Parts: sequence; C-alpha cells; structure tokens
Amino acid sequence: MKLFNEIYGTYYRIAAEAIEKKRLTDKDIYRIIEEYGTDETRVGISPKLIPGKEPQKPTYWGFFRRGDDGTLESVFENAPKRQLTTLERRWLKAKLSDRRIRLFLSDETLERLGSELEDVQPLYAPDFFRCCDRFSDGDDMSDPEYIKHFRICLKAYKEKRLVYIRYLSGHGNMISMVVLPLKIEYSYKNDKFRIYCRQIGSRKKAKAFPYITVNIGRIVSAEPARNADAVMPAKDEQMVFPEQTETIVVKVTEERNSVERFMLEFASYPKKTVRDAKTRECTVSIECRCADETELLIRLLGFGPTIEILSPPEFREKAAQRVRRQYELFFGSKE
Amino acid sequence: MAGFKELIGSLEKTRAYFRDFFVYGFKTDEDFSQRSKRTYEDEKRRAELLLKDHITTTKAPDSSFKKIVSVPVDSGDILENPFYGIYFAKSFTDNDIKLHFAILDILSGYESLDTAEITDRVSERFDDLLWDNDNFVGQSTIRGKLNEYADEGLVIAEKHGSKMFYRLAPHTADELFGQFEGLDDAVKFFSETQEFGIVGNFILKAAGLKNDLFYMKHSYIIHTLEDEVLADIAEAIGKKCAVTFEISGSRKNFGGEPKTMKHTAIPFMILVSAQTGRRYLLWYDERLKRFMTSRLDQMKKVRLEKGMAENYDELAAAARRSLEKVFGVNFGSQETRNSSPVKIKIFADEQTEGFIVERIMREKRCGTVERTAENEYTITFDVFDPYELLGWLKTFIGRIISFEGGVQGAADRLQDDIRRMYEMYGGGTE
Repeated sequence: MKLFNEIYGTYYRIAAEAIEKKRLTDKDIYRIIEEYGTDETRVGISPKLIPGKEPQKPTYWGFFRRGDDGTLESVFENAPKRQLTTLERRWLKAKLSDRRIRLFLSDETLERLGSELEDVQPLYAPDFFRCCDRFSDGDDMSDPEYIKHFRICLKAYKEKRLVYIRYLSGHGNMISMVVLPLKIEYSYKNDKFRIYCRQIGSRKKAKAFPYITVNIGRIVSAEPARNADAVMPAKDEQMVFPEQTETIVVKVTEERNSVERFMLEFASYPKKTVRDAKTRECTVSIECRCADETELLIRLLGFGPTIEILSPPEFREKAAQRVRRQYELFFGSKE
Repeated sequence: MAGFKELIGSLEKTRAYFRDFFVYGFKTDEDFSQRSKRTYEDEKRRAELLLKDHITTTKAPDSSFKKIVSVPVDSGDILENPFYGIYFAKSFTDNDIKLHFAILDILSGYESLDTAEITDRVSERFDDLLWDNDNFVGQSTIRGKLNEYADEGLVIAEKHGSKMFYRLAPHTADELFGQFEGLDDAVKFFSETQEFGIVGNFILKAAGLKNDLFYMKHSYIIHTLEDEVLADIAEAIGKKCAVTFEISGSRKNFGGEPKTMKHTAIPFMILVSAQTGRRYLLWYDERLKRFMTSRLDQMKKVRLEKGMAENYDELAAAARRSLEKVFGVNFGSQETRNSSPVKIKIFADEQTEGFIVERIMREKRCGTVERTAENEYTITFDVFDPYELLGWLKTFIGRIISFEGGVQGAADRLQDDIRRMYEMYGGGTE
C-alpha cells in the first residue's frame, strides 16, 4: 500500500479520461492533457497516447486506433474504472472516528458506511495526532444544534441561497439578519468554522456593514430565508467577500535559530523575504488580513528580541507600548 | 530544458527543495549548493510546473543573475493544496500503464478470473500492446502486477483450490458518493485537513470532483510533503513495531553541512503544533531509555522493523502520562526535569479585558489557573521544560506580573529579553 503511486498520477488520469471517451480526436486529447497536466505533460504523454505515422514508435502505448476519418478509437471494451484502493478505504474508515464527520453524515448514513467498511483497518488511530497548542474553546461539533446550523449554512452556501440567522455577537448582543454565505472557513488552531457573509436587506446596518463574519458556534438559530431568490445580489462583485490586508515588515535575526523558526511559523502567510548577505538577517514583508492584526502582533512578540517589527509605524508603536508596559512591570519605570 | 523529466521515482529530493522554496522564499541557487546546479534547475522547473499559479521567481537584490524562488500562498485563500501536485508525478514504465488498463479492462468484463485466464485474454485482446524487447509480457509479469494491485486494493485476490482468482475491488468513489449522502462534502472537507488530506484528494480526483467548498485558515499546507513518511509511521504504530529512520539536523545545530543521524525508535504518536508549523514523532529510545521527539520534516527513509516491539503498550501508556508534563514537545533536560513548578502571574482588567481571561483559559494547555487577586490570574505549570513556556508567555508581553519557579535560567532569559526589547523599541528614549 503506497501513498506515492503512479495509479493516482496525472498520466494515468489523463489516459483514463481519454479511454473513457471511446472515440475522440487528437484535439480532444490535447484538451484533456491541458486540463489535468502541466506544460510539460503534453511533451511527455502526447506521443505515447496519440498514434503517429506507421510504423508506430516503440514508445506509443497503443491505446487508440486511428480511423479512416482521422478520429481515434479506444482499443478497450470497457470504460476504465478506478476502484477505491485500500489506502483510500482505510482513510475513509479513519474519518468515521473523526468528531467532525457528523457535520456531514446523518447517524443513519454513518452507521451504514461503518458497516460497509466494517472489515477495513483505519489508516490511523484517533489518538495518532495530538495537537499540543490548539485552543481549548473550539466549537462543540457534536452538539445537534451546531450540526443543524452548520448544515443549513452549508446548503445555503452551496446553493447560493439566503439564510436567516440569529447569533450572539462577541459583545454579547443578539443579532438577527438575512445573509448570503460567501465563504466557509475552518481554522485548525481555533478548531472553529466561520462563515463570511454578505448581509442582505434594506436596513441601515445592512447597508453600512454589508460584509460580516460569523462563527457558526455563535449562531443561535438558522433557517432558510423566505422569498430567498428575490433578494439575491445581482452583481458578481457582490458575491466576493472583500478582505482588507496590510503589509507588516519585520527584521529577523539568526539568534536562537529564529530565521528557520520564523519562516516555518509564518509559512501560512504570503510573504516576501530579503536576506542580507553579510549579516544573514532577513527582512520579511508579511501580507496580513487587517482583522488578524492583533493575533499577528502577539505572535511576533513571542519571538522576543530575535525579531524586530519595522513597519508600519503604528503597528510598531503597538508593540513598543506593550514592551514599555512590560518593562515597567518587571523593573519599574526605568532601571 | 534538455533531459528534464516531469515524473520522479522518489519524493525525497523534490520534497526538500519544495519545502525550502515555500518556507524560506529567499534562497538563491547558491544556497542549494549541496547538490548540483542541474538538480537545482530541475527541481525549480518542477516547482514552476506543479505550483504554477502560486510560484514566483524574482531577481536577488544583490545580483542581477541570481534568482529567488518563492511560493507566497495564504492557506485561507486557496481551495486545494498546491503541494498535492507532487503526489501525481510518480514515474512508471510503459508496461506498467499498459498492463494497468489492459487488466482493468479484462476484469471489468468478468466476475472473476485466474491468472492464466487473464493472461490469455490479455494476450488475445492486447497482443499489439504488451511487448517487451520483442517478447510478449508473460504470465509471471501479469501475476506480479495482479499481486501488486491486490496489495493496493484495486483487485481482490482469492484462492480457490490451487488457483488464485482475481476480481475488481468493490466500489468506485462515484458509487460511494451516490450511496452515502453527504460523503462527498465530508471528503471535500477532509481532503484539505492535515491528517492525510492528500488521500481525500485522490478520492475526489477519482470521482472527477474537487474541493469547491472549504477554506482552511492557519493551515500549514507544506505538511503534506511529510505524508509518505507519516504513512509508514502510522503503519508501524498500527502494528506496534519499531522503525528506523534518518534525520537531517539543521546546520545551526550541527555546524557546517547538515548531518544525518540514524535512529531506531518505538513510535507512539504525532505531536502537532498548530502555531509553529512543526510536527514531531514521539518515540522511545531503547538505548537511552527515554522518550524523544523528532521533526517529521527532517525525517526520511522510514523502515518498519519486524515483529511487535517489546512492552509496546506499557511504553505507550507511559508516554501518554509523560505528556501531562509537556507544554509543547520537549521532555526537558536533566537540569530542568526536576525543577519546581512555574507560577506565572498575568494582569487582566476584569472590567474591560475579559477577553484576556478567556485567552488564558483557552491557551493554558497543561497549566492550572487561579484568580489570585483583583485583576490578577496565576497560572501554574508543572512541566519538564520551563524554557518551553517562554515563547508563549511573551505573547502576553505588557501584562506579565511575575515568573517564579522552574529554573533560574528561564526567568533570567525572560527578563533579559524584555530589557533588550525595551532598548529595541526605543523604550530608553521615552
């Protein structure tokens, strides 16, 4: 059972797709290659898939016969089926023990799938992965109400329909609104689902704050909105959640292996790095969502004096204020 | 590029290059001097092909001819991990692919066939296809491929009498998605999670689907490059057997060129950090009689040892117990393991900063929290390595009232760091 196996590969997939069509043209094959492959794939696979002039080159796979009309006909009788492999079945079996599976499958479906995979050994045990620094206030995904809200929001998102939600804001206020879900995001660190929405309606608030994010765990009730289709936003640009970003510039020194630690920790952020050839210090520009600024600030402070926030000045000042406060807590106003 | 081949036989080399392109994003070709210029160019080309929408190549600031490859991706903006592409580039022989489609085609038409029947039908139907150096591929080659596919689970092998019969395995992904409502969405979600998400991606691709629903924030997409190593470890843990592996340390730790160490380990679990981007194998070193952790991204050549490891269950239980005194992944040193508990006092204005108290509660891990005065919360940690607390603690800079206990070195380092940061941010000029 190998994970890195050609049966999952692009070339097998392209060949299967072409064979499945039974009869096709050279152009059809090129189209399939373009869809699934890279620029180099065409060079690698087309002489093997498309018959040339007789006699065929020994590299030609012989999967097609060229007809008098120039089209290609598969030499196979049946459309190629790619059965699920043991690896895939074992992966599915492992997922049955994941508490998040109930967001997607009903108890009855879960039971049937469990019976179907009864003899399958899970790919890994539930305690195989242990996250040491995940936040402990993640969503309760076993709560039937949570599951219900998740499914209603997911359905609305998939069908681009409106949903009426009531939720408890971070400040403890109950808010109700009709929204169009634009994006569903899961954070592994927070263990929370969040939906990015466009608020719909004629009320002042909906117009003033058309885009909002809602943690599914904060939703108190959710239901499909009435006359949903009638109020769908018409323009395409209104369907995309606008993300405001800013660039934070940081100097990273080599002390305590910080370059390696920093680069890995912030690997999930888009960033541009320039290294000074002499000092080997790095100047890193991180693209950060404005909404995540505070989170980024405290993570940067976690690196201590091995990094320095350079800009923007207001962001640097926020770090400086915290450092000054800390200095006073430890040493009084000045040492 | 002359001689460049898109497909690769093993992941090891490509994995190392892709990781460096993504994680660092500032290295020039000269920084990859451990291998030949040609290898660098090939891997750069491969990255450009597989990560095409995400990769950028820029000029180095100090040179007009040096190039820097980087992969600036926000995991929260993408629906499919671009690094999965590496798993679709496995090389194969012409006969591999010919036999693949020939065997699947023959078996699709029958309930079950033995090796000789399959060979006969393959030779009848695909006489033109299956020639190897002027010889038709024989029964033994076909049997070999059938057995390989039985191992992979594409076909089921069953012995009747003295003969081995083969049939197609049940279920395609399409069939399962048709039978189990919601499974397609579940696979879409799990295909982008870090627990072998690539396998979910295989299933989606087999069904002609892709994740078009879920975005993953704070996701270390690079982890997928460790999945091959991880699969071997999962197998070993399932069998409760030891493994050997090689690990290359960073230059800084070993000085000069990276040094490769070989270990024999009894593996227990994977410790994941959702914040530092590192994943570790927790294992027992029988020689040193102690628990160890090793980074997955530095691990290669994992081999399973034969037989079950002695006292596996007892050791696994001891490992779990020990984790109660581990804040991150470190089991500490002789100096730190028997140190006194650390008590940290944090200031939080209860009228206006309830969110700080919430933060402490959700991030304390193995610590215990007590409200010790108005606006003051004390967290107590009884851990093997007090130094490991410092990185996290510094995220509370501005509200740390005191740090007591543990080892003096940790308290000194914290104070020294604050002094240096005070200088760095112009504190002294105020």
